[in-house]
This record gives sequence, C-alpha cells and structure tokens, in this order.
Amino acid sequence: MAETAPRLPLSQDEAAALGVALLAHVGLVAALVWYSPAALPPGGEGRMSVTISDESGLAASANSSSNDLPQDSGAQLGEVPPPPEPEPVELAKAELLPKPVPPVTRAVAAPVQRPVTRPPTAGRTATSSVPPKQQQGKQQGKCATAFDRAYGTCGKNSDGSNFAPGGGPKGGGNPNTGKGKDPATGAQKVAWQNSVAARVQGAWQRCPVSGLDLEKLRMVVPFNLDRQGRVISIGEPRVSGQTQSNRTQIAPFRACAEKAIRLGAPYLGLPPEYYDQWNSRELTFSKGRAQ
Amino acid sequence: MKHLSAVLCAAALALPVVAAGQTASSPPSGTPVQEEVVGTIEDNDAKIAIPAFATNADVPTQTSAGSTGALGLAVSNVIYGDLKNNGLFKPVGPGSLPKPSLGQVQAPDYGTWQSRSADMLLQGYVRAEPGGNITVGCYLYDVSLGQRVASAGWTLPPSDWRRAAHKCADMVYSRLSGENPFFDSRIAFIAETGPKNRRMKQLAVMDSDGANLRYLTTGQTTALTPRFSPDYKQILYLSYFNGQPRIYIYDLATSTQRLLLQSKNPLFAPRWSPDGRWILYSMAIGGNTDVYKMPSSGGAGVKLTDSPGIDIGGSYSPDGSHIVFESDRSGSQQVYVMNSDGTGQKRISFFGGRSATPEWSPRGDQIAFTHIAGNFRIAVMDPSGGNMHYLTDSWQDEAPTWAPNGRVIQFFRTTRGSGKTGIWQVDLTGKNERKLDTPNDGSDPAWGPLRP
Repeated sequence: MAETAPRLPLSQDEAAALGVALLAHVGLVAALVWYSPAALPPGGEGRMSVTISDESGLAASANSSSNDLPQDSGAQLGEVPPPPEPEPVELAKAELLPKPVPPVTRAVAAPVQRPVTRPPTAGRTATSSVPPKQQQGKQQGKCATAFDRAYGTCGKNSDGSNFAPGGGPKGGGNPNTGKGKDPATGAQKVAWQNSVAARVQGAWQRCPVSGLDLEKLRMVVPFNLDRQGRVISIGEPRVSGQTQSNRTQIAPFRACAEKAIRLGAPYLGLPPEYYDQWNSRELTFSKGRAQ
Repeated sequence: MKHLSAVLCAAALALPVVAAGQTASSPPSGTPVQEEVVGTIEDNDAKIAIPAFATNADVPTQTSAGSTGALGLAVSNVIYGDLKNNGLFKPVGPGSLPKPSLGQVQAPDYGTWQSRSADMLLQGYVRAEPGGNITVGCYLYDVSLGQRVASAGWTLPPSDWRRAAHKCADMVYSRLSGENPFFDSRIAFIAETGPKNRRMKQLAVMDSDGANLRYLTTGQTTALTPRFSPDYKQILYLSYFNGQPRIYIYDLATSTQRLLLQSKNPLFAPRWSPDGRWILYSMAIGGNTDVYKMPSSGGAGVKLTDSPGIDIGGSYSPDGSHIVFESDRSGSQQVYVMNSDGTGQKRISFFGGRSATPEWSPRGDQIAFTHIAGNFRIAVMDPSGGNMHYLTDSWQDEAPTWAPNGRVIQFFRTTRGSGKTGIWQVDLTGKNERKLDTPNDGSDPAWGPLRP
C-alpha cells in the first residue's frame, strides 16, 4: 500500500466548493481589515463613535469631517440622498446617547415617575425620549451640543443624524409625504420633531410654580410657528391631573409655559420646504419632584 | 454545483445593514408635532425688583409717612416686606435699587432691569388728591418678555395708605402664585404681657404685617382663642373672669360686645360655622368634655359628641358638611371627623404620638393640626388622614389657623427656655417661616378675611 496523504472523503464538487468558500472567507476578512470604515456603510458620510457610559460628557464625537460639508444650516437636510430603507435599530436610539452629567440629572430625574421605558424597538412615543432632551435644553450655548450642531446655526452633521433624542411621537414606517420633493428621511423628520423642546426647557425650569400636587399637573399647549421659526400664536391648553390642591396653580403654570415657548423663539434649523409638516406643534409641560 | 452557487451568492450579499437614522414617521400635514418638556419643582423664586414709587409732585400728606416723596418710598417698603419670606419670591427692595422717574413707571427701562437679572419689575406712583385722599398706582412687568402683566390703582383715605401697599402686594402675589391674596387683611390674636404667674391676656387686632395694632379688651379678664366671623364684622372669643368662663361676640364696627354663653362649667374653643349661623364650643361637665353647637344669635346648645373622654375643638369643613375635632377616647389625643350633626365619628390620625388642635383649610383640601411626638410640630394631612407632612420643626409650635386663601398657616411658637411666645406664619409647602412682630408676646392668632 502506497503511503499517501490522508484523503478526506470529498467528491470533486465538494472540494471545489470548499475551496471557493475558503477564498470567499479570506476575501471577507481582508475587506474588513483593509477597507476604511468610511467607505463601508451605505448612505452615510461619516461614522460617529458612540460612548455608552455614565461619565461621558455631552460633547458630540461626530467625525470631524462632518464640519467640512459645504451646505449651510437650513437647506442641507433636503439635499442628502435618502438611504435605502433601513431596518429599525433594535437598540433604542436613546440608549446610544451618553447619559446626562450629574448637575443636569435633577431635571432628568423627574421622569422617574413617568412611564419612562427604554424602548426595545423604535416607534415608541416621545415620553421615553424625555431625559436626553432635558440635558440638551440645559446647554444653550451655540455649538455646545451635538444637537446645536445639528439643528442650530453652527453647521450640521452630514445626514442630520442623530443625536436628536428619541423617536418621533408617531412610530412606524417612512411614509413618503414630501411635497413633490425628495421624500424626507427619518433623520430629517426627527430634526423638526425634536427642535423645540430643548430650547424651551431652560425657561420652563426657571419659571417658579409652587404648591401641593404640582407633579400631577400636565398641560398640552398648542402653538404655531412661521417659516422663520417665530411664534405666530399660542392656543388654549389642555390640562390634566388637576386636583383640589393644585387647581390654583393652573394659571401660573400656563403663564410659565407660554413664556417659555416665547422666550425660546425663533426656532431655527427647521427646513422651510417642509413647513407644512412642522409648523403646527404641541408641547406637553409638567414638573416633577426634584430628587 | 448549482445549489452551491446560489448559496454562495446569497452569502456574499448578506452584508450587515446599519440603520443610518431613527425611523420616525412624519405626521401627515396638519397634525401637530408633539414634544414634551419636563422640569422639576425647585426653589427657584422669581426675583422681583421693587424700586421706590414715584410721584408727580412732592407735597405734604396726612399719612404717617410724610410727604408724597417719602410716601412713595414707604409704600414700596411695605410691599417689599409683604413679599419677602413669603416663599414664592425673592424681592429686592427700594434701598438697593435706582429710583425710576414718573415717566418710566408706565414705560420701564427694561435694559436696566435685565442687567440686574430681575425676572419681574414692580413700579408705581403715589399722588395726593385735593381732598386729602391718596391714590396709588401699581404696575407689574415681566422683564424677560418685556411686557406688562398686571396693573391696578386705589384711592384711599390717608390713614389707610398701608392698605394700598398691601393691595399692590396682593396683586403681585395672586398674579404670580395663582393663589388668592391675603396681605390686605387683619389678624386677631391674644397679646400677652406680665410675668408668668400674673399673665395679662388681651384681645387685639392688627394688620397682617403687624402694623396698626389695636387692643379690644382691657386685660382685666383673660381673653383666649379669638376667631373672626366669616363676614369679618365680628370676633368670637372666650373670656375668663373670676374663674367664670364666658363666650363673647365682639362687634368691630360698634366696638361693643354681647354675651353669647355663660356657664359654670369650663368652656373651650369657640368656633364659627362657614355660614356664620352656628357656633361650636366645648364644655366640660364633671371632667367629661364634649363638643356642642348653638345658634350664633343665641339659644340652646346641641350636644354633638358623647364619648367618655375629652372631645374638644371643632372646625367645620368649608362646605359646612363635616366637623373635625380632637378626642382622647382612644387613650391619647387624636383627630376625628364627623358629620355636622354629630353622626359618623371616625378617627383619621394614625401617625403615632398625639394629634391635636385640628383646623380645616378654607379650601377644604387639607387639615392642619399639631402633632406631638416629643416636640410639638405643625403638620397637615388630607381630610381622610393621608399624605401627612410636617410644616415646622421647632420645640413647641401649636394651634395652627389658616389664612383665608388656604395657602398660609399661622401658629404660635413658644421658645424653649425663655418661654416667650410669638406668632409665626408658614407656607403650605413648609417653606418660609416668618415671625410676625408684635409689641409683646402673642398667641392664638386667627386670620380675618380679605378686606374689600
């Protein structure tokens, strides 16, 4: 018996297939190792490194190349080509945001009594996105936060994504409702849906209301903006959670809410071509117990 | 081989897909975009600048303050005193502020006030009228919004100039706090003088800030536990003369009083019903004290409680349907609620220690009482006995009574060691204790209604 190298019991087809598979694996590993991350994902210009940590600050860590884009603040959201239909990220967007630093946490702690749940799927309501909004409201400097960089006047991320907190209040898909223009991307919609609350938060926090059962009070205030983001009108609020003890606080509560809306204007960074979809708004105001 | 290729092709195409953005739908045109703003309840009081009130001409007046120029400063100081320590505001008084001119009163220079970080601005003027009356005008501005939020004016006799200042403070207070005002009101209390073994206790009334004090009794008899009638015109109080207890109703307009009830049995704690038609009182017969009710115009008393213990006190709910009182039938003083006809008596205080001197808020939503567990502390609870929380934390605070707006509570405090008593106020949220200055010691404070 001649001594030969041990042979695997493969047919010719199988051997060829294994060889191809091996080559494909090698190619894949090579691609992952050698190709730069910027070239890989479809639809995005830059990657942002995301930190999940209790200590990290609120400064954005977006790729600095995002500041090199030639577009100015208002128009560029409409010019980014839409990505292919993305799968909803199972990780909630809220979880990708750095947690707020302690001095801000007091405002953030308030929603403990609220149904704050980190959504396992996208499409939850806006209540879950409250904590990150507040931290951004506290930093009103021009380019202090990624939010301001995204929606303020100091330049924008490439695709408008996505330090904007939380989900849009209406979950679901991606309906094509642009006015004959390129359909608004999910990121663009988030931009105009989350651009007012953060600016209102500071004035709302500072305005004094005092009494019993205040944390039960919730007030939905409707208002309209013009194309420049100025307040046109503020309508009658809808109040819930009133008790005999907090009834007298409804008037100053309302006065504080309207004042906070007025002081935050003009609300910049909203795309004029989608004015129809963001001009009519409602803000729900509440105050929780400090902790 | 064909199957293999298909599988390989599928494998090659299955690259991981990373979502670039949140999937969020845009509402169809016309549906409002909804967001949420949450704050926390903190001690962020509104900073109010109260500069001296201006005047058109500095002329003499018949007020105790002097000329109109001095009167303008005095008025702003009274307002500052009212709003200070009230709990909701951080006023800055005229002493440290520039004085606006008459023209600026209705057209403020917002820049000045913004640079001083004022949230609100209160400006006004005083004017001497030909007949001797004084007119005071009062304007409240929101500095950050740059607009006027309230204004009012009053013309009053010169002796009542302080009332105009209180009404101005009331305008600011009610506009910013949402609560009913209370600064322009009077307080009845017992003024105490003399050593402990020969204490003189007189019935007295004063403004809510302690000014304009007036004694109503001479002190020859001991006066206790005064209570204003709901229409402010009368004061009900208990008097002891030679050990004989009597309940009197004092008429403020005529400065005379009438005897309502006299007994050889000890009498305690006379109280009005919200409609002024009934008087509650407690009487001890052979050591057993019970709560009674009688018509305020005089007549026979109806016994409401009947337990073999001390049932005492008695405060009506503002709708007149229930009465809260104190009883030791369980072995220690506790708080009980019953219907106004005496039926349905049940205990509501289960906090450990003892609970005494309950008083129902004029808003009906809270009952204030004294909780005794070592120290005597003022506390509130809701009418079913839940949500109890303390408002004070001193050695001996007792006998809380409510301001007519149901927001501020008055009580008297005995200082440990010296034994001196004083009248104090505290906000319903437990903040901002404030002592009312009385010439001597004071106890048993009762708040009268807002003056028209």
